[in-house]
Amino acid sequence: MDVGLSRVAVRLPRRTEPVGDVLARAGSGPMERKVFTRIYGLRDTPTLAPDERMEDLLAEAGLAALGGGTASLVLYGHTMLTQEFGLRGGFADRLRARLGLPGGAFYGLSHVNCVSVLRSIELARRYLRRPGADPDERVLVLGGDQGSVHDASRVIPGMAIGGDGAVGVVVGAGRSRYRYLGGAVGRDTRFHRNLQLSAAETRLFSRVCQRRVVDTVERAARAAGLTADRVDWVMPHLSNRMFWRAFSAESGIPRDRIRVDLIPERGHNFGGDALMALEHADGTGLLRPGDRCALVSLALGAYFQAVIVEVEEEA
Amino acid sequence: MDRTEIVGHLRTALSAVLNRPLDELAPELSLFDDLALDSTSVIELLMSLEDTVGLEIDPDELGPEVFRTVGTLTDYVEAGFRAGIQAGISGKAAV
Repeated sequence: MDVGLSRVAVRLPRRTEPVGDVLARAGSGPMERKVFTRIYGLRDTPTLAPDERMEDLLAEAGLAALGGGTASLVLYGHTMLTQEFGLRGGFADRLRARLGLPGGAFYGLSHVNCVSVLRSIELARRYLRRPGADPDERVLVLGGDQGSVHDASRVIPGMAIGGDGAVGVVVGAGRSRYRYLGGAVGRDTRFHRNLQLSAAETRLFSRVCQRRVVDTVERAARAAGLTADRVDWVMPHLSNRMFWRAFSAESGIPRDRIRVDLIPERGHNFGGDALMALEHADGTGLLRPGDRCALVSLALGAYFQAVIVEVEEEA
Repeated sequence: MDRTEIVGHLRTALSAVLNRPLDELAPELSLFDDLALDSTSVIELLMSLEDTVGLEIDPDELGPEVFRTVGTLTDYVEAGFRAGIQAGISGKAAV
């Protein structure tokens, strides 16, 4: 059974904030700020205004992705375990009501950090392929976290800054904007302490991370019946430009096929990055039917996920 | 600035990062395995050289091959330093 993904809906706060300002508030020195902005290419990060709420962005992204349709299951992939809207209680019920899915099943997917959104797409695919599934069923996948809830929690030392962005995409059987071709997951539990890694573990993580991401993309491509060099576009985790320059060198995939152009203005938005890059590439006319795209996420912990999709003509 | 002087500046900068004196800096020393550096600390070292010796870092040219050994790092610094000088000359010519 073919499974497809709808066009991606992205919702962002109306303002951004300079990455240097966030780093300064989080206690980073001038040298670290220079590395993030100059070498990593991170300039601005989406930040909710005082009168905006992350819950609204998630609801709006979900409604836009549903496009007036319905879904029998909602999967919300998130990185942070504690969020403002979660602490207020009733989050799932409020969101279901706003999405027009009051009786639908709603699950959060966490504890795999920033691969949670692509992992949700994989789980949606498995759900749709379960025995007895209705061929018209659809799954709404939501993603995004409020990084700005606490400056210290949005800074991933030596890597990235997390912003406030939400994504929504519908996974369903049959023809859609993107046809799912294959996927792969990876994990390396040596780094399970996340942000509490020792200096030696951090060094090791930075050394093995690129190889593990390349390996995951190669396995996803094989699962799709391809080799990595036949992938037309890489829609990356928008952590920093430096990482993807190294990925290009390690994988042999040319830099101009890795869509890092959102990094300066939007940067990293937790699990939503690859879908945001896909939405941006499609919205700016880059993609053509038949193009194969590798959606890639990596996460502290460490987790790796890649999904290969093919762009289709829309009905 | 010749290569010997560049190596001297690198040794000083690496000593500061590692917080220990470095007498010899053999080109084949691995930055990660032998000197226990990580990519972030190497980048910070390069940024400090921008301030001290006028090195011009081009982020687009900063790939993983730079981070392999003392020799590859020295090559990058030398090329960046020459590019900085060339840019200075061009700038003066334009004026």
